Amino acid sequence: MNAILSANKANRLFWLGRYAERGYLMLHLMRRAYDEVIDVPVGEVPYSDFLKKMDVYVSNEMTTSYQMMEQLYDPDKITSLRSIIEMMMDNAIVLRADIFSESFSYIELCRDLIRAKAEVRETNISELQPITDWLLAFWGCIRERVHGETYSLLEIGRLLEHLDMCVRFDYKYYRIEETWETLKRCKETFPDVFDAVEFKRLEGLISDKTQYTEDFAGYKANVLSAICSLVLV
Amino acid sequence: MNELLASRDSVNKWMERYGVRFGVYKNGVFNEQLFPFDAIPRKISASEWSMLEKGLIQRVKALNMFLYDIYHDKKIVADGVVPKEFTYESKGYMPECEGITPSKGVYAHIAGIDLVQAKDGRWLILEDNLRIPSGASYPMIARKVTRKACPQTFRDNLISDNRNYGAMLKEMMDYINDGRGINCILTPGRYNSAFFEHSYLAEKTGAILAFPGDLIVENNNVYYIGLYKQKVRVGAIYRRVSDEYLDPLAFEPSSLLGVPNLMEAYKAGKVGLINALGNGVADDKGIYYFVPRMVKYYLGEEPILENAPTYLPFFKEDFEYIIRNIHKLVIKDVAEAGGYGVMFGRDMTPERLAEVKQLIIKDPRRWIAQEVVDFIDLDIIDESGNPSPRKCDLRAFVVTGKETKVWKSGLTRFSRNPNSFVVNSSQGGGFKDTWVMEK
Repeated sequence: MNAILSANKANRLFWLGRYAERGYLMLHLMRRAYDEVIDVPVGEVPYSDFLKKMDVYVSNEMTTSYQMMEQLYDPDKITSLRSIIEMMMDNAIVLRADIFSESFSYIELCRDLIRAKAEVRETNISELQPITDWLLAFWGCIRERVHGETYSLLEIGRLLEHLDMCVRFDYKYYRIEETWETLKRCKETFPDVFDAVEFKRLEGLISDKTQYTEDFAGYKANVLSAICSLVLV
Repeated sequence: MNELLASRDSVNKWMERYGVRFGVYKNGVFNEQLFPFDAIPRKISASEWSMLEKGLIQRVKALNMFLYDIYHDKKIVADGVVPKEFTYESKGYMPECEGITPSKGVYAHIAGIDLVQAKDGRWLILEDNLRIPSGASYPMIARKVTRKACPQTFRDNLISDNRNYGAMLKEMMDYINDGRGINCILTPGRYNSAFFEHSYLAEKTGAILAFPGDLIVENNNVYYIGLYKQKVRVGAIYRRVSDEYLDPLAFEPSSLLGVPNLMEAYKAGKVGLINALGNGVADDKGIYYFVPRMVKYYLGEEPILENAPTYLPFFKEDFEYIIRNIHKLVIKDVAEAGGYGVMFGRDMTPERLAEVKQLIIKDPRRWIAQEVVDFIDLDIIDESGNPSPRKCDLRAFVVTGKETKVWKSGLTRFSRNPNSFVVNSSQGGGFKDTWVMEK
């Protein structure tokens, strides 16, 4: 396989990596939030914390189930799981020759399922478990078949999104540190993809463990903004 | 066969997960649809295939010689075998291609020849497609999936393996490329109706799938623009963009799908284009009438495969016959494709017949008429799950590189409407795998 990538394909690979990771983690976090609903008194809005961390507007007038339905299936809401999977597909469909039909097929399966579940307004989130399984299979397939810069771009997208979600959802510092170290290794093999100035800035922010653990005001926003401008594709 | 029928749902699910779709624009809106697949294959015996193979190779060789002749020596016109009205006045003729010899002298690298089998067993040619024939990817992936779902069927039947189409294409592309650079498949983009095919063939040939804007021409060399402006020389382009949109500086200036100056690179012999430009002169519905004559003229052989009985109103005798018998003929507009512009006399009202007669009188070059070929029905499994006969054609794929070879398979298309002869996917048709048997 001749792996010469145009700027457009590089961009799509990077974003496919990001959306696939976001879809996977969002579903994981929504399942956790769904579990919390069980113990919340009627009338309270248990999803608000999750939604705020995803930068989603929350109105107190929205019911829990309405919020959940919107966050899962609303095709017009760019943060919904459905939109994220549609965007995965938008990128994957033009990359079939680069990621191969086997990997592509798992994205197709996710898209078909989320559309089918949106159609019936499925409220039981466990019915979406195949999406998690297929996204894991997708990454397995990618690691098995895709190499070189094509693989690196997908992986950089995945790691960057992982970092983004860990920061948003207050994961423990060691998770941030581990992800960052892996991302640094990617830079060694594919340095041109990273903005050197932003990389240095992000490294400075991440290595400051104290600020991370104390949730210093504005710190998180700075990390998330540096993540957004780290990669040049 | 029972295994095949029982696994119908499973096969269709596999097709769905691989995204085997085609796009359709309706009222300006793009929709992707699954291409309905029927599990009952068309079977062609080894001896029958051997005859078809010889006939198809013969026909495509003659068509390639015709294309060279039309753009160079013009002997066939000078000798009065084909009138100039069907060549130099044809919409498919491109004066820009005069005197150009494509890489290795091949014009129709991939020919999609449409055939039907009459009830008496004869195979008749319906149409030659020498520009951008599509559809090979569907039986390719259908075979992959059905082998997965029905292994016993393939163990029990001696079926020629058709999974070599990607390798056939790659071999041809490498030959045309001649070591000049990489191979590309140029697609108009993801909203093209055949985008699945473009991306799948890129995967199977290892060629780069290039989008509009990915290719540039410098000093008559074509380059693929990689990340950070890296330039990689391109040696062969399997273009899935129509002639008129391929180079905005040479043809349609508003085209955003083409590569500026590609025509200059092609003229200079710096890049191979698959298929060559200007092939339309050899595959419109009017020139079809003359292909058996081309076989005799260029090869000195009797055509192995016949055309469906066709009349050209351009000729006085044919014109009179058409006017007398229009109610039982099929009238086709030579400028249309995809099953459009096809009218069955028997389905028209007397008023409509009179209108069509007037159209033919006004512009006889625009129309051809054919006898309605009573071609064989093949069973499909209909929506109620029962076998039901439908009209089917066969698109055979003939690949010309160093040699001319016929892919041992093909796209069998069927009409989903039991009363229709139109099998085109754009008009709701489905497809079957085509099994060429080893015995």
